[in-house]
Amino acid sequence: MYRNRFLLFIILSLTFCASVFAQTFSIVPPRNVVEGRNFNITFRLSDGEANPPSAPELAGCTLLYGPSTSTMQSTQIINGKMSSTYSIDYSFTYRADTAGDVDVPAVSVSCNGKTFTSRPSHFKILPGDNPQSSAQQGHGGIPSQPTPSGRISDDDLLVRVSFSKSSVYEQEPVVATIKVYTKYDISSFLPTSQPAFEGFLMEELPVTLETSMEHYNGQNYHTAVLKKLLLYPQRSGKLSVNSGSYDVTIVQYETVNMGFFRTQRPVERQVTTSSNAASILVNALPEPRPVGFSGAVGSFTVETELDPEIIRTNEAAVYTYIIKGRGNIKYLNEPTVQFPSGIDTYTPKTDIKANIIGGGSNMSGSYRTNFTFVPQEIGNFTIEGVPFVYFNPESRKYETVDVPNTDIKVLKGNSVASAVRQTDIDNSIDDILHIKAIVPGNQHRELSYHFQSGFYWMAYMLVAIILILLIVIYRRHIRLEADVAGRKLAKANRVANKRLKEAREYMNRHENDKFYASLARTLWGYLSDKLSISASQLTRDNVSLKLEDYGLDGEKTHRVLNVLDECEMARFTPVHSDDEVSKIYAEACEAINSIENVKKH
Amino acid sequence: MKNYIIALLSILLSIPTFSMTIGQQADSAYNAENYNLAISLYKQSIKDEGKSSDIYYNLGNACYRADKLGDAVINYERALRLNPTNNDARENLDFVKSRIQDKPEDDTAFLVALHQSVVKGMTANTWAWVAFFVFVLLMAAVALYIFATRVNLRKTGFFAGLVLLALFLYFLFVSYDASRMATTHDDAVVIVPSTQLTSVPRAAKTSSDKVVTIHEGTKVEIIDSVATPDDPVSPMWYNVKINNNTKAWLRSADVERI
Repeated sequence: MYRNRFLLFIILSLTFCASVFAQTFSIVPPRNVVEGRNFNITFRLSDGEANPPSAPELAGCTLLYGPSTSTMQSTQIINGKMSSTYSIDYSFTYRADTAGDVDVPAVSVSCNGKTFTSRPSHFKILPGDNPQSSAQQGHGGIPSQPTPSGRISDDDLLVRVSFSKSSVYEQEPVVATIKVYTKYDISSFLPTSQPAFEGFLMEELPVTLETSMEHYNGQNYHTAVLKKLLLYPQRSGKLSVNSGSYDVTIVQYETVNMGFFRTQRPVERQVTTSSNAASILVNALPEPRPVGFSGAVGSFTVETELDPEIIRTNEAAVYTYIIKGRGNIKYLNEPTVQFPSGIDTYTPKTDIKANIIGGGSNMSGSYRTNFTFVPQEIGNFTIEGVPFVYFNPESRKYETVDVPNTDIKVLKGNSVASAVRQTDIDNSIDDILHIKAIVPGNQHRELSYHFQSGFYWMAYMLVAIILILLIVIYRRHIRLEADVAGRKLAKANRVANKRLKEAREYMNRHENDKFYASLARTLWGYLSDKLSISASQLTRDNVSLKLEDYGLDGEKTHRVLNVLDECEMARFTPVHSDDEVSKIYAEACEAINSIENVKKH
Repeated sequence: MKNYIIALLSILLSIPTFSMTIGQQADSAYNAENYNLAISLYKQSIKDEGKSSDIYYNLGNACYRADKLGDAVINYERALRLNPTNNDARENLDFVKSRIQDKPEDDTAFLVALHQSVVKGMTANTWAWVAFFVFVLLMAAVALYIFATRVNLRKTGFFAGLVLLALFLYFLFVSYDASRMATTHDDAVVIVPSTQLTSVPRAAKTSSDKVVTIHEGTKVEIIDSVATPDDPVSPMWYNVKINNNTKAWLRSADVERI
């Protein structure tokens, strides 16, 4: 608990100390005064106490009294937090003797061992109202109060538009000020139509609603700046500003007679006033305009930047073209930078930062254009620096800022392009193809078509004939193939006849052994061929079976087998009569014939 | 003396062999951008040295360069007639056709268009050999049917034979069509800047006689002609077909047969 209180005390004392030590000493800006009037010059010391400063010497003024001291203290508690200010004003009263400019020199005070010095200041002593121009000369001093309930002349209330220069170049900034001049108090001020600034680009400047006094046309007025504009003329020639019109309610004081004494009471009156029509001469920029000039007027410098330093394929990089300087920086045209092929570019982005400088007479800042690009190919490229051309209204010359080329080296990137971009080869024909070289000997007087030539049809005939021949030959072959058994039978018969003939020769020569051997071989061979029995299966039983199958009746089979048996037996019985021989020959012939006859059925 | 004469003769004979043919001279005239000379030289070459698809193609190019679109179309068509596979000629013809004023609607039936594209696929002689080759295959299929012992093979031979017979007849027809297309002169191309087609074989007298106006480079098919010896405008009129729907009469002098 104690601890907390202690902390609070420290914090409070610290804040108090902080406010104590924020000491300032300044002059309250003096206003213009009218000749013959008394006025005050006030210096203000805040948060401190000091010996009053000595009165400054003012040219054309007489010090009447001073310094008078007045003290102000205010304490605020906001959210339980207390703050207090304390200030002392030191005032000196002078009388303005002669009209003219007055400089207030710096004044010093010493406070707690420190010396504070105010800034020098400046004001005007205005001459009194011109009696000729002012019909309603008042009691001389502040703007003459015209007779109440009187007419309000145009001189009593006016709105003026003025330019800071009478002639400018195109795009060269000029300040236009709209000021109201009045001799009356104004309770309301409504513009019904604003002055139109045709042919200008406008930049509104901030205004402080401060009244001051001005001597205009021999009369003193309360003035207030309504509007301050920075204008950029867009075309040459005499450009004028249309007058705007305003509804003004002014306050007049009417004298009323209240029996014994007279008093004044305020009366409001509605007045419509319009501003003057001001004009300015705009000079055209000198011709010829150099190549690359795009309307920049002022004085500029150009820088380029490249980010990042190491550029890789498929990774975005930014090339920045920065124009810095003063002039119509807000209304520059975007520079055009040509990137080499193999680099994809995006729409450039421009960032303008501009401040009003020189008390609103000009504008300075930077115009940054970011060119975002994505290199697609590895290699060395050069971004050509685009020179920046501007017109300098001070030297009345065109000036060129050379921008060096930027060399970039593109390395292989890590990221892969989301989609491989392929360049379409433009294959649309826009001209005929070239001629073909004429080869001599390739030309024909007469053109031949196979379709019309006999030779062509002969080829068909030939193929067809070949096929027909093949078919004929094949047919014959088939027929022979189909008669294989018949051929064998025929062969058997033929062989049998041949062998029988051989056997008969042996019989005629009475060589009986050979006769029987021949006859047996003939019969066996005949039967083998005739009945399609292979030599290994050629036995008496098989022959008997096959003969049955063959369709030979039992008696004839028996006789065939009998002949076979006799032949076998005769081979082992040496002596045979000729009769026996001729008989068995006849039987063999008979047997073969009987088999042959079966076939014919 | 004798040797001298022989030497002289050989020099005289050798000159033509070393000099360029008319066609080659035309090529060099074309390359020198002297297109009118090239046109006359190509025509001379066709007359003296014979035709070829390439020379008509070159002549078509020269005509195009000399701003004779109608002649260019005629010569590309002629080049294609001699060799339907001359793709350069086809490309240039398509290109020149895109430059001419008329764009006749293509109302050919699908099958007809298919057949025509087949016909234009190869030269008439190539088609004739294709037909012959198919015929040989057909004969082989017949032989297979006759000689094979296995039923499957015989079946194959039979059906293959049927298909091959159909193919053979079609290719024979294609070959016939291709040679007919190459030899007939029924197509013509307008060679005057524009011509008025009429519904009767005489100059149009009323607006109802007028059918349509066609321009240079448009191809028409001549289906009939009529001699009009008394007609002061033209001694000969062609009845032409622009597409399947439009038939009209045309002065013979305004077109050139391909």
